[in-house]
Amino acid sequence: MRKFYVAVCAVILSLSGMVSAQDLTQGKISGNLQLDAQVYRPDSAIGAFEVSERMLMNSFANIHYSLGSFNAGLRFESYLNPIQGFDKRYKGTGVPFWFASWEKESFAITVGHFYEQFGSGMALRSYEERNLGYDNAIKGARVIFRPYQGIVLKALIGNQRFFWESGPGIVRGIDGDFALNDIFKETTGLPRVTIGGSFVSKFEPSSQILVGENGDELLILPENVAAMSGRVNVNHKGFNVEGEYVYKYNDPSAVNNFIYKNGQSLLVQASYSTKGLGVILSGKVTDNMSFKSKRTEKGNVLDINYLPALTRQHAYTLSAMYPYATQPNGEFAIQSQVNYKIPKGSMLGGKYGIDIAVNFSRITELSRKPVNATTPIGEGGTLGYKTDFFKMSDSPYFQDFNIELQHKFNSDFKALVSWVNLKYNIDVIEGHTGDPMVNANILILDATYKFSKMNAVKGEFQHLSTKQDKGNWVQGMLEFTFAPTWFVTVVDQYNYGNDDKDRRFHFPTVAVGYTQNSNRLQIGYGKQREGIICVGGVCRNVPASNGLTITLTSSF
Amino acid sequence: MRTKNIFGLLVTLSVLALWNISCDKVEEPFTRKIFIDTTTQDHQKKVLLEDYTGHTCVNCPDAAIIAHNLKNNLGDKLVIIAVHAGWFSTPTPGGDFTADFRCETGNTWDATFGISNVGNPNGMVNRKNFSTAEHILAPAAWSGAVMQALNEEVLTDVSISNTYTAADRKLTTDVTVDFVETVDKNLNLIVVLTESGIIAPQKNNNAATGPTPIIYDYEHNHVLRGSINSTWGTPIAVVGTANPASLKKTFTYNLSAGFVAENCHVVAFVYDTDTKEVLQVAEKELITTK
Amino acid sequence: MKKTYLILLLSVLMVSVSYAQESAGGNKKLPSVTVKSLDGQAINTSELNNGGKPMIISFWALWCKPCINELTTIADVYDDWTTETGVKLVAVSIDDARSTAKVAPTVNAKGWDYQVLLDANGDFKRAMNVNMIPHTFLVNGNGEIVWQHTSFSEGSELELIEMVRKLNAGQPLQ
Repeated sequence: MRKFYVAVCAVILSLSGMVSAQDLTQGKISGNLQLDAQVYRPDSAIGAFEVSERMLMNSFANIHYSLGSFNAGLRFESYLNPIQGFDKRYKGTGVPFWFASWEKESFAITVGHFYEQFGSGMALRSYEERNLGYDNAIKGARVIFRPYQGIVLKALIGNQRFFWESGPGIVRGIDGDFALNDIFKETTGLPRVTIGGSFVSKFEPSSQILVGENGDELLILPENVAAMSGRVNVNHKGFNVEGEYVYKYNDPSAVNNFIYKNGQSLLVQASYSTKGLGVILSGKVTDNMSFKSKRTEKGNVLDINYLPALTRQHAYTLSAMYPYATQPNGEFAIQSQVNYKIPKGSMLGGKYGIDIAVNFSRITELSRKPVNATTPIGEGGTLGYKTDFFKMSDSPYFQDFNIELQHKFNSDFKALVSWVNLKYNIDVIEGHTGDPMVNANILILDATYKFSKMNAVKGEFQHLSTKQDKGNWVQGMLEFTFAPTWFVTVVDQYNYGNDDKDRRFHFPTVAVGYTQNSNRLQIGYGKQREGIICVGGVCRNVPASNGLTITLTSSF
Repeated sequence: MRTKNIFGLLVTLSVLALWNISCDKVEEPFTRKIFIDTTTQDHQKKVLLEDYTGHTCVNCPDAAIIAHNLKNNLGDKLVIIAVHAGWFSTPTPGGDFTADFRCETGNTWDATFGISNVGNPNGMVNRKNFSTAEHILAPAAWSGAVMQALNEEVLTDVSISNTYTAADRKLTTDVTVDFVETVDKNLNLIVVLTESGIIAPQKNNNAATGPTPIIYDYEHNHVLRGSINSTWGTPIAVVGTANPASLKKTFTYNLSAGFVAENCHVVAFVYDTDTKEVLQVAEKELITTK
Repeated sequence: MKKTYLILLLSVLMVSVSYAQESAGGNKKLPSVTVKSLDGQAINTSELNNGGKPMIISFWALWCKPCINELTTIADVYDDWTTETGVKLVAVSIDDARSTAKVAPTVNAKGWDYQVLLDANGDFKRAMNVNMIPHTFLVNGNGEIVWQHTSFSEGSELELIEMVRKLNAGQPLQ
């Protein structure tokens, strides 16, 4: 193995021309690091149980070296032990990510670990979300070739990250992206059209999986599973229309209960925007599109693709309390958003104008029918079910209607008001079997007042009212900022509407932070409420916590 | 310019090669029946399947069915222990789920192997691959892992003989370990008690399996009730010391008042203390009926 | 063993380079990553420039409130900044496929005059070692990163424009 790496480095260095000692000193090093430590104190009332280690810590450091066309880097990660809410299998220290890449004119090659996205990611997307503990990096090799202006061809092969190991499946993919306006000359004035397509396949050796009422039917498993996709993007003046369609061949897996139905997904988005107005309308239909490189995996790991949820990512705690997670086995989603700015100087708009955003999204189950009279829907070892692709069922998963207004009254004072109406199918999304649909109304008021050139105070009032789940919540926050270095925040979250009087808890937190250029230290103390994460039929409880949190981030 | 053409050719060739990897399209029927025989031979390899579960875990009844079907097809070759541990097994202050099926041994195993932390239902087969953190298996992976483990060679064999006196609820269990091959590892023997046939409510989300959201008369089987020797067992072999041909250990245990002796089993297994992997397991009911 | 070898190789490189960096006074240049513009064109980040004048590169996302605050606050004084210092602001959105299509309608409705780029899979973000956003960089006329800061509070933009003025005047930035 060692000889292989020497050979690779030698090839890369020699191809980039002679690397003299002087050249070597022109290389640049950069990176970043983050450290999160939590010290826990038990509080049995809210469900914060004793943590035997007392202190848990997550940390990572990226180091990046670049010299002309050559780049290399690695990431150290240390979880001693992983903080609560993170998968315990991250425990330990090591270098789970390293790479070397070289780029020259039309050709680029990367070996080691890398992230990549084809189109919107529905066929292939490997990415990382460090603060959620998500990382499906591909370890192998990737080539990018640009033979002609406007044409980009990519090819990759590798295994995916599984905590400190690699998953069992090999992922292979090729992607082509063609910007027609750059390929063909004399296209000024014409709309900008880009088309693309990709082919992704995975190989996983067969294993013995038994299904059936008596567990004596052995599945005949496909070892190579492929997905193909095509996409088009048209842009002209203020209009933009884009669409992507993905088709996946039979992929019996634990997520879809081992059915042999092919999967497909169609995403279409159309928008128009001009100064002061933006409108967008999107639709997505997904059917059986979970694509993992390990067929028995049900957790939030080893995903080959990414199915975007067509919902608004809310920025406030209470409006983000019931977040939607894409149901890979099938859903029908529509979303529309209008952004409008009442112009500056107009009667209503005042000196600075008013920003208005209206957003609506609705996601329902796909309507399914049985394959034949004797096979129940979704039975393992069969085709599963039939569906009219474009038919919404009456059973909603999620609905979100939101109006937000933002206005700056004068140079010292600005405010935001937002109202959200939510319908959340907690039975399906969080696995709370039997619980009724949560109907919630959320009101947010956010105001900032600058009392001197560099100092300001911000107040936030949030209220969530619902008759289901835990009842009403109210949250208040006060934040003092002393730009550009200090801030102090005081927050309290109060579940005053809980049906059970003994469970009407307060979750107060105090935080202080100091920022110097790209270094930041934040220390917080307080309580955090519990939550349940359910992914693919496996539910994990994120316990409530009580104690001290320290976060340090730095970039160099 | 020439380099560009060579690279271009290489890329085109690899693209064509990849296009030729046709995916596998399986036509109906998608399954074939297998005939697994439940007959055992002398020094038969037996496999331990641990199912980490809880009574408020909505997906757990389906996992229990997978384990149950495997047992039906394999008979004595498979031993199941259902460990109730973690958040979904905690008793609720009131309501339907006040039962507590946890025990100290199960809690310690769950904390060490980190299973409930990942989620329920999940389990282990012969506790393999703990050193690479690949020991946690979803129910869908149990049959593959069990079949693979059954093909492995037998290094030690375990047999159990029980004597139970109902009057004082005292169990005396004799566990015999035979060294079939020479084994140069650090081995421990764990002996535990499991109880089946406990009727208590269980949450459920699959209407095909039972009533949702709660199966009130659910039958909990193979529930780990406690350890008879200790959580991590008694040493029976040490690296560097020769193995005896056979080793017999006797343990006594008092059954708690709530346990139904007729539904109880003793499970004994030998494992490697360095890798935690289980070498052999055996199960015997407390009271042998004719 | 293979990891140890790679770490050793990189450490040797790092040690030799860090000595050289002190003496050569080298700043990191903009990396070469492909991102998209709002109308779908592919842009190479190493070619971003402002004709020899300073450039601000700010990483943001639709779901990041402080980022929107920073860009809105600067938008109110952007004309003054451009007239005075010639600076240009490039706003790089790290929104992924969930919200990429919403960036253009939102940005245009707000009336921002920045050059907005889409970095949907975070390639530019990673190459610039961005972790938490907002993360803002100041790039000089030669494409070198000379200053950076994270997080935003009311008044932070005054520190930023001060750095731009110092850069124009040739003064040191620390």
